Amino acid sequence: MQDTMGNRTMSSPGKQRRRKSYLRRNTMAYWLILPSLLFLLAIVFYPLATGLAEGFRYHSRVQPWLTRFNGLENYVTAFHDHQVWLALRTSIVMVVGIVGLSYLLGLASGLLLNKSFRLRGVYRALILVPWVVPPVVSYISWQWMLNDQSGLIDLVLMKMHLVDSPVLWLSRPGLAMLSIVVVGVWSRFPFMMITVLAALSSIPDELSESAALDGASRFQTFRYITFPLILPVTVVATLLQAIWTFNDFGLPFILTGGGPANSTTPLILLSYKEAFQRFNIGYGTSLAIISMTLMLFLGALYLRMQKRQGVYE
Amino acid sequence: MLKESLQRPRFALAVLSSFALLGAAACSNGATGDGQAKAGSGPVTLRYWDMQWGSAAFQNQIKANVAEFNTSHPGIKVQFQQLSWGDYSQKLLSAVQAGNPPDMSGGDSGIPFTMAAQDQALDISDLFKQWESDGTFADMPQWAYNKWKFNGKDVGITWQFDQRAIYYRKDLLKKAGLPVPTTWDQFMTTAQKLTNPSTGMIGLAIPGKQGTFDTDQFYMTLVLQAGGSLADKDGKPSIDTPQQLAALNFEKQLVDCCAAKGTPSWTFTEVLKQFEQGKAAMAFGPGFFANDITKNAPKLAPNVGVLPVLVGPGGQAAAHSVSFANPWMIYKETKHPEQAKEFLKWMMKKENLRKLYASEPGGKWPVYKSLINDPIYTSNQMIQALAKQSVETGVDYWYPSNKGGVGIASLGTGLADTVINPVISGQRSAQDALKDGAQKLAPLFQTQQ
Repeated sequence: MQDTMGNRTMSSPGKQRRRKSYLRRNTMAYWLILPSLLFLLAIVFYPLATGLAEGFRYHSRVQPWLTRFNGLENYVTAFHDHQVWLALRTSIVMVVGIVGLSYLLGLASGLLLNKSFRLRGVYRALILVPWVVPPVVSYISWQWMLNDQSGLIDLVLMKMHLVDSPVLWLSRPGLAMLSIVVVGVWSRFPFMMITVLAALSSIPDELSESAALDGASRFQTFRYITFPLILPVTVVATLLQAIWTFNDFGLPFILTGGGPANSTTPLILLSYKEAFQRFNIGYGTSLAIISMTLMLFLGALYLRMQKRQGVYE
Repeated sequence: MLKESLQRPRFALAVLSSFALLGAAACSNGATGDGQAKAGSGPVTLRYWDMQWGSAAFQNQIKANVAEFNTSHPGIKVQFQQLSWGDYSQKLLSAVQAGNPPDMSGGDSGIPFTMAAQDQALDISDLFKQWESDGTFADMPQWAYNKWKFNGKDVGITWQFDQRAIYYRKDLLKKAGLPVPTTWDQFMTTAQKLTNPSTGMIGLAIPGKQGTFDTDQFYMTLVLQAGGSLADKDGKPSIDTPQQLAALNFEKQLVDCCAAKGTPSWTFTEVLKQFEQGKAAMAFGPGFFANDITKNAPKLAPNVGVLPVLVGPGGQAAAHSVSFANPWMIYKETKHPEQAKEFLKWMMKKENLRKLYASEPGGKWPVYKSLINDPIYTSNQMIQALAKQSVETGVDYWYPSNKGGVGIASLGTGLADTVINPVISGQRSAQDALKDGAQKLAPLFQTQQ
């Protein structure tokens, strides 16, 4: 029997027999994955489905009598909410600034530490420190260092006579955002460095040696051989970092509390404040769903790019 | 063999039964997890949840009080559970939603309203009558019990005040030949005159950071003194009002002239540090500052006083300080209301509360007026002044706007985020910020129809 494409297909009874036999042979496997499946349903899919439903309700924990299905009202409110747009802009600035700069720094460090020199292992280990320190600890430390009255950074700048008065790192909108980006880059670039380093170590030395024999400069070797070869890894690493940064609640929450004047409140922090400080679970969840949708879109976009760049693999 | 047995339907049944049993066990655990003993099977068990109020000494004392109650009341066993500040309200609300609230709990100054609005607070009017007749209420500021009237019920009782005040350097005022300010105008003049950029001295240290409750408290002190409130007597929000505008403009002027430029990123931590380092002439802060200054800046402490409550545009009648009334309440779902009331009554006894206050002198402020003359409060001049203010002029954001209690409790850091921080950081005008605040926060005040 052939289908329209000319492929051979099984007859229906044969197909059923095969399926039964397949199920009989794999029964044990199904039983073994059943507990995990049930746990996944309970702790992932059920909360996710409940969360999605929450986004379409007016639900305030302190006004339960007002709880009702309100369709797209939360999303319409969000669309007209100035703070949501400001938060979205803040999220994008954080992602672009932190991911872009941490990648550049990670790439530079990776290229440097890929060379052979004494104590290379020590330097590699030291650079990993920001990544190893628990984020909350490092953010609180940075908060103290950036404090305008007793912070180490202002103290050093003033001692060196580089500034006359303390720089208000966390009290001015522009400087507060800059501080968040700097702290974000500091804590994330080691991950980029490790990723780049791993990708670089997989490139055979022969390739760059051949290029050198052909008269390629160092920049040309990097531009036409090294970078294309580490690009697939780069895409995945930056995608992950973009998602982590977009969803990073701790950094702005600890460092600035989202201020001054909401200038460092990303969408995820706004969602938290709505849901857990103002008890507006429905609206807060709708903001989280918007955030998740954007992440899915970003994920799909990057995966598409990665597929296109698969030619280098 | 094993494979065969796994493939048998009986095995499938056994696995499913196990899950069903596990589920049933979990459910039954939830149902009886409150430890409520059946009649005749031993003492009645009450669950009492409260937050981490203060130091370890205080926590030990509250446990000791509970243990003492358990010993003196063999028919009742109180199980104490401490909640963290980070998520206590979520835990209480979740417990209520799950139909498994504690029998009694503490909470912030709005929790009983939040619970009462959901019909979860037990009416303790009978206890109120007893306290009224036995003279207990005569020894309390009137608002400490009137505050808890909600929809004709008494839904909680104040066990302590959480006082806020302005601390000042007596030596600096004396040196500058300035009188102790008692009005807004004098306060502004004093702050201006004591600000000296060349020495790094600021006239006033206040919190202004977004996302923290610290920021609301100085602003609300000014709002109260301007004669304003967060809700009117009908429970409708009163955010965009001339009184709030006066308070916001005054705070902005103070920040511009006399506070640190970094104020929009400051919490009480920075304020206290600045004051203890001798770099601020005045500082707004909680009652525990008195203890901290005495302990960590002993040389400075004798020169520190507590400003009298300022008279603002609201006049003498509105001369209030912020003093949060911290409540205890009983939940309507309790299976043992009489035992819970017995426990609450015992906890509220002056001698038992005194033990709590004494465990952390200068950390807890008395609900009983007569206790302000107790050695707990008279041994330190700052603590004495604070105790006096707490019972004489203290009031919180809720009183007398009880009907708006739910809305006020739901503000979170909304005032700091939407109104105060944007103005003091120069990003929004006072008028616009109040409009933003009214628009953003008003829906929280919707009441049950």
